[in-house]
Formats: sequence, C-alpha cells, structure tokens
Amino acid sequence: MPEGALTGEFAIVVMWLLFAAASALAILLGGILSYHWVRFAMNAYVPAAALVLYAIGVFLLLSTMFGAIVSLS
Amino acid sequence: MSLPNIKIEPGEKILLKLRKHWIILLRDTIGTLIIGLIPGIVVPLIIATVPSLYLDAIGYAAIASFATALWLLVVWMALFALWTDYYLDLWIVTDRRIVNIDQVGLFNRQIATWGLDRVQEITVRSENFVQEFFGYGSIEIQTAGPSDEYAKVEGIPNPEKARNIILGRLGRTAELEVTTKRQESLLHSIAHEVKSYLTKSESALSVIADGDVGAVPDSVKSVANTALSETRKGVDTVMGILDASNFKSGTMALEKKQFDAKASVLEIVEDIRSAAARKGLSLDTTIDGGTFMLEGDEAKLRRHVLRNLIDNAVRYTSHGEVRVLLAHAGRMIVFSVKDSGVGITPEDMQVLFTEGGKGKNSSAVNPESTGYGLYVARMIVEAHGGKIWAESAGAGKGARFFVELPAA
Repeated sequence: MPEGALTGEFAIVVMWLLFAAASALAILLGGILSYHWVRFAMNAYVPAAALVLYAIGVFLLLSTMFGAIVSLS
Repeated sequence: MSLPNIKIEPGEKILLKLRKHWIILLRDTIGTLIIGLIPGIVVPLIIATVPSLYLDAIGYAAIASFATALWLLVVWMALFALWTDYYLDLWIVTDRRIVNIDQVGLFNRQIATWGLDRVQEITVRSENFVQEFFGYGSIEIQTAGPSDEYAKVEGIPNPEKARNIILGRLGRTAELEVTTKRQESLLHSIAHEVKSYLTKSESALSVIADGDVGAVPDSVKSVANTALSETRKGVDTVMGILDASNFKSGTMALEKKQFDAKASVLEIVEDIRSAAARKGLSLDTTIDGGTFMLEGDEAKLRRHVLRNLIDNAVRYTSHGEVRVLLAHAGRMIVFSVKDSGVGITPEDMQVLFTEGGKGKNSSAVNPESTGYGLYVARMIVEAHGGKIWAESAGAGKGARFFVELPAA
C-alpha cells in the first residue's frame, strides 16, 4: 500500500460510524417530520403517503451504504 | 375539512385557503437536486485525476458508492424537510379574519391572525419578471387598532384575486355595520316610544288603583292593580333594553353621589319580601358591622344591580331560601345573593353576563327574561370600577352572585 493511504480497517470503522450516524439522523428526522404530517396535514392520506415514500428512499440509500461497507469488509 | 391549529368558529366561513405558489417549491427542489448531483461530478473527477493504483488499494468503488449514497441520503432528507415546510405553510381567509400559518424550520410554527374589521390597507406586489410570469407575489396588510400592525405574506398565488376577495368581504362588513347601527337606532326609538306609552298607562292605572279619581268597586281596583303590576314589568323590560342600548352607544350618563348601600339593600329586601313569601321562600339578610357608603349612581345601582339580583334569586328559586349578604373586603364592599334555585350550568355561565345572554332553560322558568338584565348589571358595575360574577355547582344546585364595588 502506498505510504500515507488510509488503511482498510480504519476506513471501515469510519464508514460504520457514518452509517450509524446517518441511520440515527434519518430515523430522528423521519420521526419529527411524521409528527408534523400527522399533526398538521389537512388530508388524511398525506401522512401515510409521505412516510412510505420517505422510508423507501431512506431504506434504499442506507442499504447501498450498508452494501458498500460489507463489500469493503 | 379540519384546519390544523385553527379553530373555526360556528358560522365562520372560509373564503380562501392558499399555499405558496408551486414555483417556490419547484425552485427550492431544483436547487437541492443540483446540490445532490455533486457526487456525479466529483467521483469521475477523482477517477480522472488520482492514479488507479491508489484507488484500487483503498477500495475506491465501494467508498465512492458509500459516499454517494450518504450524500443522496442527506439530499433526500433535505427534500422532505423542504416539502414539509412548504406543505405546512398556509394562508387562510375567512369572513372574519386572515390567518397566516408559517412553519419556520422544524420546530417553529408561527400563527398570526388579523381581524378583517381591523384591516386598513392591502397592497399587492409582484416584484420581478418571474413573479409576473407565474402570477404570484406578496400581500402586505396594514391593520389599525390599539397596536398598528404590518404584515407581509410572500409567494401568494394570484394575489390580486385574494385582495379582491378580502376587499369584497370588507365592503360587506361595512354594510353590515351600517345596517346594525340603523337597527339599533330603530330599536332605541321604538323602546323609547313604548316606554312613554307604558309610563302614561302606569300613571293612569296608579290613579285608579290608589282611588285618586274617587271610589271604585273592588273588582275594578283589583283589575287596575294587576294591570299596574304588568305595566310596571313592561316599563322595567323596556328600561333594561334602553339602558343596554345607551351603554352600547356610550350615551349612558351616571349621576354619581354618595349613598348608603346598606339602607338601599334593606329597602329592596323589604320590597321583595312579600313576593318571596308568596312563593314560600325565606329571605334573609346578613349585614356586617360598619358603614357601607358607595360613590355612584344610586338609582341605577339599585334598579339594575341590587334589585335585579335579588329579584332574580326569588324568581329562579321555587323552594328553600334566598340569602342577601353585605360585607367588607378591604376597601371594597361586597354584595352577594345566594339562592337554592335552579342553578347555572357551565354552558349558561359562559353567556350569563353577555348581551341577550340567556340560559338554555331560563325562558321556561322566567318567560319575561330579555337577557339584558345581567348584561346591564355588569355594564353598570364595571362603570363604577367594580366587578360582578356568579358561582354555581350546576343545574339544580343553586347559585350565588357577587358584586364588588369600591367603598366611598
């Protein structure tokens, strides 16, 4: 490995940390936004539709991140 | 349809419900998406500039995939936060008020309300070509009142239409105000005329009942007494309406002078005692020691407050007792009337001292009630710097009325 490059183990640890932080942030934001949708939406279908769409996007992107970490490991 | 955080009053009609123009959401969305495209530029740039030896060594493909997904996740969350912010901003115009709901970020939700009657000026602005082209702009509202307010709401689609709807409503409100004032004036004139006729009848009947025109048969005297009593009730009713009208128009004059509240209360109680006795009620008076001098309009306080409250207690009590109390509370004189009558429900308590406010079942107990008695009483007490209130444990559990007035 060239001198000064990141070691594989260190990169993986950083990625796991980033993955955990991103997951926590996505869930926290999802909770906050869901509260707003349920509490203030005027259309009864909006909260469910928004939550499903948000969850699908978050799931796909977190899965990609997870897959990348696993492939690197 | 429900409106979040806004309580629409019974009879209140929603005229307009608007979100910001869709172009604002599109503009912010495109801006965020452009930021989201950054990995599409950065990743190929790294591949083009960094030797593949380094990239392969650190597993660049997986790291690039990870970083791109992380970046897109942040963009995805930002898009939802943006959309939520847009979706929760709302501008509502009803036939009574304008409500602006502004969601600022995730935790700050501001709701501003302006009564239509306070709106003085509405200015519409489309500030640039984009706004002109897509037909949106800002509305500036200047209100008048105890605290002049200026409000600006931006991004309103078709602001001229919104302004015209508000102005149309304002015109109708002004018309309604004029009509109401005319009706009040007419009611005042009619009440005045009726009072004049009733007063003349009262005098004539009084002359007959008192025997001033010579001896009359007992049957005639009895009829005259009954008619006199009914006429006096009519005079009282009309006087109540007239006084309420005078208070509303600000033409009620109070002739203030010092008088003894204790003497007034005792006189009134003696006047009413026979009516209470006829219903089998005990009418007790408890008066603390000391003097009870008040500075005020004795006639109005006696008629509309003291007498009215004792009268009501007797009227709304079918059995049991009515207790009249006069006491000192610091520099205040407290007059209270407690009865074991029909009581007051929490719903009725809300309208008790309002104009025309009558309890749901009050007409059944007292068909002559106009709903003005306690309203006028409150006006008079407040005009003397005092306060009036009632307490009751509920229907059928009696009631207690309190009047607090500053001692002279």
